[in-house]
Amino acid sequence: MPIIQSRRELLQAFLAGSASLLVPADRAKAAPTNIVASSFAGVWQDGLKAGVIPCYKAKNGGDVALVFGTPSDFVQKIMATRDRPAIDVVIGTDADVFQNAQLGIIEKLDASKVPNLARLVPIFTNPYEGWAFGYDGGRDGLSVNTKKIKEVPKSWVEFTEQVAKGRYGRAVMYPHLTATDGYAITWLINRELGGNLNNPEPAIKRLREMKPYITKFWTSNAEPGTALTSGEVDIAAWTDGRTFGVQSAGHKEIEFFLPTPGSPMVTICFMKVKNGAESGWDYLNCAADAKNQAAWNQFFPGYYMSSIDNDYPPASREKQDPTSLDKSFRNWILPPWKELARVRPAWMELWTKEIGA
Amino acid sequence: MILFLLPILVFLLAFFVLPFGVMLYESMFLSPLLAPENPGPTLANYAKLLGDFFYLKIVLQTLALGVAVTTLALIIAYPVAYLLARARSRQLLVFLIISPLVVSVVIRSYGWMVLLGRAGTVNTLLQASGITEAPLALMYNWFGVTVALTHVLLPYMILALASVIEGIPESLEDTAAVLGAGAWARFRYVLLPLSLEGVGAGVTLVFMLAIGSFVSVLLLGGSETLILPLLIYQQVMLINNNFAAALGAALLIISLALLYVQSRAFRTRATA
Repeated sequence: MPIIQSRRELLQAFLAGSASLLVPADRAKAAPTNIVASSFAGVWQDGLKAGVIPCYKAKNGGDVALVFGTPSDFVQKIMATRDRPAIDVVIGTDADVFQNAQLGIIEKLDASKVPNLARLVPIFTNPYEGWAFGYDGGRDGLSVNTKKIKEVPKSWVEFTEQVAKGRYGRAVMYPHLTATDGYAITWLINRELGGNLNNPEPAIKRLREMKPYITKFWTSNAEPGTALTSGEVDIAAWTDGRTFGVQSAGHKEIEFFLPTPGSPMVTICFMKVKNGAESGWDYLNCAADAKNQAAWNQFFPGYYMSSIDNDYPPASREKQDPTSLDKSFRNWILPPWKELARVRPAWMELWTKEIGA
Repeated sequence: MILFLLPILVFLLAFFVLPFGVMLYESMFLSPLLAPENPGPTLANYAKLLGDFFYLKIVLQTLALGVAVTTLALIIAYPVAYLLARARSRQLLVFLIISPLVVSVVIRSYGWMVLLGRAGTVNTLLQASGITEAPLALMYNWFGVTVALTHVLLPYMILALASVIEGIPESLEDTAAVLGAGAWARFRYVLLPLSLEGVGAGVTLVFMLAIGSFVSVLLLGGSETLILPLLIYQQVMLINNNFAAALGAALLIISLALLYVQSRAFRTRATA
């Protein structure tokens, strides 16, 4: 019988060395309560260190090593180390949840091991069919330099029409389809223009018309901030939280507007990696806890947190969407993430061919 | 002799041949997101790459960018390399040429963004001096990418040329001058033929780096500046590693083929 019987085993043999490099030394000692969790760099990790990580340490006694990168980086690392994954708890966007489920790298959440799941707002759990829970909610909308643009589009469709007419000149940013915000906004615009999941043509056609005036299709969430504050662009399809960050840095002229019919619901999700450490469940429970979420929210005022028990200080409340505070969520539109995950390769191919990089 | 070569052979095997083998192997399958049932080995990724004009166009765009950057770098670098090779005191010149390499390519690309942006230095000066009325589109297009990449890769070309020009005796140029050759004739019939080896090395180096460049293209490019490395990145982002592997293999094969052709061509001409 051959030693290597399958493609997966062959790859594992090649990747074994690099996989061991990805696993922190303390983890290699197989201390069962030490886990590896993914995080975004910067303030994101500061937020986790303020609440979630101390909670885990207090409950479990183990430590948490954070790995930084993008959701795609995390998935690649986990896929390369499936049987003994380099990450125990992974974060990702809504678009990643069903993709990760299809890849077989995450497991369904066990409510008995994450009791705080019961205290989450349903809009942060139901869409993911048990594969993940949403952590923080932000809105996609229009970030506008109000010194340059006086009449802000009232709706997403009006925004696309005005851009296509050259109303704002070549000073517009729009998210790329590889960015989850880009996928969500494009889906919404496609729906508003009469398209559906299997027919993205209406949105692609409109984007083709807009393209001469799009300075860049942004791929990193940081790009519009730099472009807006440097005067490179005057209007960008972007997120509310990031816009508030730019305002806090002194650029009061950059304001956030929510076009009708609202914002696609985009959140960062927490997932349990298949074959990851059992104590990852404790970490997830800490992440779903209102107190720890409030500690994280101090670093991101304006974001809505998923625990139903959350209360927010006035500085955060005044930046939040009123319909999330009253829990009606009328301004939030739930994209069909499961179906969107299925059609994403086809949408992406069409985008690449019709729109470009 | 074999013993001396053993470390480098092991290194090449472990970090080039084996990874390349894994990449080729991966490229023979479909992404599990596209084909969860795993139909087994297939050439579908290569059929897609070679059978769809869109992807062939991206390959051509990649090569065209490489040619443009290499040509510009060669034109700019040659006089600088000559100056460097003939200078009595080279320390300052060498420092000036190498200093950009000390700065991260990300920082250098951001520097070009400050210069070429709509509200950047170049457009501000052009408008202030009345040369242009509205800002020019100098960034997020091929122009910005070509300028930035030429700047990023220029030191490699200069150093490759200077090392060869340095070895050409000045007396040959003096003799040609005494025999009545002007500056152009000295360059055309003396310097250039004798420096072809350096031209070959510089052209090869810059071309390879240009067609594999990513950061500068990502930061300074726009929707039309789609080249192979960006497409590979997109595919990896979408967890379509298998098609990315096919694209990577194509890029590597193109690079190796051009490397072979260039080395043969320049060796032949240099020794002719």
